[in-house]
Amino acid sequence: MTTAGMRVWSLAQNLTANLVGNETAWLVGGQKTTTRTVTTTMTRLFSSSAVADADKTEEEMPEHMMSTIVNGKEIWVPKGSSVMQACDAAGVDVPRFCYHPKLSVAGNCRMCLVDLENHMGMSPKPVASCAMPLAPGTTIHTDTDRVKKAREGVMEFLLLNHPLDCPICDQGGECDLQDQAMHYGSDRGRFVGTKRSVVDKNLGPLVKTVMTRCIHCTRCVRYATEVAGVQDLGVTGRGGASEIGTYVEKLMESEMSGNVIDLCPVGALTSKPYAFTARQWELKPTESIDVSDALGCNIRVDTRGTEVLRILPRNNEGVNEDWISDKARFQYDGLQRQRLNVPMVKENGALKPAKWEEALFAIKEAVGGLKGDEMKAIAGKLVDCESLVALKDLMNRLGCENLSVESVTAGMEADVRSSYVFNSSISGIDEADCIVLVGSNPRVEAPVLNARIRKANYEAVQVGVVGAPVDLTFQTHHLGDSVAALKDLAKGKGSAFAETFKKAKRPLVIVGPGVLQREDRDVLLSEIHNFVDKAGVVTDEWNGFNVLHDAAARVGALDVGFVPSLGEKPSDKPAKFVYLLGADDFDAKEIPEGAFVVYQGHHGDAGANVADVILPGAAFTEKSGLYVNSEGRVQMARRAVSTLAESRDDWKIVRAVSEVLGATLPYDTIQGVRERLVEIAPHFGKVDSAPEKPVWLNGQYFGAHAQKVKGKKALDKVPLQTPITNFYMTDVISRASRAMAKATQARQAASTAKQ
Amino acid sequence: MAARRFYRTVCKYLPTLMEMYKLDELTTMKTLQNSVKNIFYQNAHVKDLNKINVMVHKGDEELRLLLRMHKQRHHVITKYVVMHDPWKTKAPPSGFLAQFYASN
Amino acid sequence: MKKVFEAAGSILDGKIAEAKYIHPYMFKQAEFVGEDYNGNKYYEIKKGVLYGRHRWFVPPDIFEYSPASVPPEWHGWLHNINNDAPSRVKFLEQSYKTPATTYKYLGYQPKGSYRQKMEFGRKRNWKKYEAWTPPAPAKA
Repeated sequence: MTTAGMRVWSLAQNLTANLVGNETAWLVGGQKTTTRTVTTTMTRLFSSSAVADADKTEEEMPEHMMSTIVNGKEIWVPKGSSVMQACDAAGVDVPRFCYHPKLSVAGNCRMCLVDLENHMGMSPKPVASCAMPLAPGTTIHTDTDRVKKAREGVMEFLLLNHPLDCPICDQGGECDLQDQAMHYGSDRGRFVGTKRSVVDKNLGPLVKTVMTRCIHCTRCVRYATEVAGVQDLGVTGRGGASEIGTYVEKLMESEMSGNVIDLCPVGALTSKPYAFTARQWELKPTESIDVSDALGCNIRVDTRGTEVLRILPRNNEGVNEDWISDKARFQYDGLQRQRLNVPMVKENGALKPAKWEEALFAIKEAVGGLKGDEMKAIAGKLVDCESLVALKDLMNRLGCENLSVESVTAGMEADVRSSYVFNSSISGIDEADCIVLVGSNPRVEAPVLNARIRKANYEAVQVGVVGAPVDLTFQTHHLGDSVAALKDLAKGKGSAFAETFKKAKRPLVIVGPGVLQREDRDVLLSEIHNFVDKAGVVTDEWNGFNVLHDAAARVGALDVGFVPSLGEKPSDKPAKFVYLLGADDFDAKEIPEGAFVVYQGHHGDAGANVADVILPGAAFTEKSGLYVNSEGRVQMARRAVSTLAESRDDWKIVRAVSEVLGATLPYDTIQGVRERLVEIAPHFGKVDSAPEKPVWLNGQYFGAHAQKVKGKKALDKVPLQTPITNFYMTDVISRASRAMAKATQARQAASTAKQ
Repeated sequence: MAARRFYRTVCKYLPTLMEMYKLDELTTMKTLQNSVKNIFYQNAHVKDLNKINVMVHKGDEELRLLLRMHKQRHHVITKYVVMHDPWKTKAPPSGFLAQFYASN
Repeated sequence: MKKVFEAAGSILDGKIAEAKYIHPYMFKQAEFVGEDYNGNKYYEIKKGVLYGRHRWFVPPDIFEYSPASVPPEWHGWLHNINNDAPSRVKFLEQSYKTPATTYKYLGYQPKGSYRQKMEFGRKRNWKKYEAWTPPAPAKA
């Protein structure tokens, strides 16, 4: 029963009042200046004052709260709460299948029945608490005989058509129905007929369906429509013949389809790659951070022995709410393929496994006699901040200033933090009242962020797109292909959207990698800066200038200053020694002919192919490392499994190289490295906490930037476009993953079938 | 003389042992033979007949135990298959690097 | 007698030990019937022994042999399915006969058997991950 208990408790912690519609808006509307986000406001009310102030007297309680009695205990909840939320606030366990705090209320499972009592007496029949708004003067009873009897009746009906295949069901051990049947199920059945059977649906290579197990809670349907934004799932048929499905066989074309697996309270929707691999009680959970995009979604890595067996989302309202993308969820099988497990040294043109001593000695031989300006270091997409800072310190000690992060930061400035982070913070999207995307397709760059924008759009926030037209799963206004469109927007004329944007008090501009990874980036940025200045995107209370990155290591690299130091210019000489720190998507031009290449990383990919020495590092599940997400939030990925064979933690490798090269770094513990990180950038001391608003220096910065790009011209002909061509394969892990390859294939097949 | 005869017996049983303990996943016939030979040569300095007889007897005992599967696979592997690491016997460099070379 | 002790000291099959060493008179009376392509020799005593002990075979190596080395035609005679030995009467092969593959582990081996993949030169893999193999060196 512990599983159900924990799940219900976690639900209780994540209270939001989704059910309240317009009729309750007036109750809370007076509290805040903006009335558009009832949900947001309610969340705030709950988190700030709901349960903690239960001992206050009635006079002290604010206007927006009301009191009720749950099983004889008085509790204060915000007005407009549902009966179930009041029960949750009181810590009373109410069983449920269809209710989910992040989805709309359906009220169709009938498991959450409770008794209500007011001055008229007891309610004539038990009430579904999730769908019942709490009226003043109501008392709630969840422990009456009638409630127990009613719930047992519901459970018996649910179990009529539910197959008895728990021993071969993947949900076994973490199944809501199983858990609640322990409380409300009968020890024998009265059903003598034939059980219903339903044909399984094909939802693609990621989600497995066993539709006979479905209890029609419609969580998946509501999720697909409301959060994922694909109108694929639905209910067909009536009564006993009703089925969940796509009606015609169809791939679920969402980048977040995996979340239906978590949502499904039974084993009807389960994970295909994980099928029949493990039971929940065999697994060791580790709380970690996803590195497949720059959002830094909070994940739980489930391991058994040395294998990562699955990845699940962890709730973090500030970042990913309850969701993660399919890439984050299913790429883990890439961690077991194409791995670098022993150091390698090139002999006679072929890489041969070697001892660490030999590998480091080979590097020493190669570096010996080279000057600092003949070296170069490129960092990759998945690198943690510890190894970044260690490599930066090492290269600086060797006199090298030529540091960059692959494909984006060559020539990018790291001086002003607010010029490269998501200033309004991710939860700021909930507060924005008009959104403009410049050169960004968040659907592939950060699907969870896209869901957040969609949520805002659901609440009537208009979204404009500058760049090639994209399908973001919701309605957008296409403003133009290039940044020239921003000029009209700044004037506030020309289109209905421009007028909305002008009126907006909290406009949000998201600059995507489509801008950052272009050759004419600086010119484009300068024009965007102009627009931001003119359109009043940044005010004293609101900073709507946001940069969205596409890889986990980008912001971290800029934060530790993995760029040429201030005032230094990277030399133009072709480098003779190149250090690739997990870099695989570099431009072929960046590695000069005949250079000695060291590749440090965990997967054999483009980088390992050109390397002379390979130093095997650890993947994000195998080390403890700090990552900074797009909004500047520092989060820690924790070690879930041990490193493979001869591989080592990345910062340790850099530290060892430094000792062999005679430029020993002054730290040899991870604490030492982190102290160094805090020395460089103090925010590294605040792990896992919401980012502070960066200081807005862009007034000065913009001026300097404009000076820099004077005389350069933008490549106007090419429309702004996201650099990501295939969402499922963006980095070494996802490229090595079979599940991602299958997903790619399925998506391609679906798109050709459409044409 | 006894030692030589015993060595031949051991060599005769090596293929059997190879299959019984599934050693062909880890080593080859030749290396196994080599390592057995080395074990014999390690005691080449012993000249006392009685001592040799005792050692042969002990070896025979060991062989019989092996043939009857009274030992398990990992016993065989650790004793006869995995040769010791020459890097580990060297005096390690001090401090961080030593730890780094040894393990993660 | 010395032979008996030697045989008893080593690992010897009971049937052969009995036939060859414990009741050596059996061999004196036995009639040699024939030899198959695996080198097994077949003997028979028509009178004076218990039923069930009157036909037997001696493998070429009595310390290392497999009963599965008896080919089907001899198997029938050995177990009294056929009256006549294939050396005397020509053995008619069944039309649906498949080659006798059980000997030398060429036949069916259950999943996970150590011998399953041995014949193809493959080995079991305990590694939980696949290591990257470096590309072949570019030919200059």
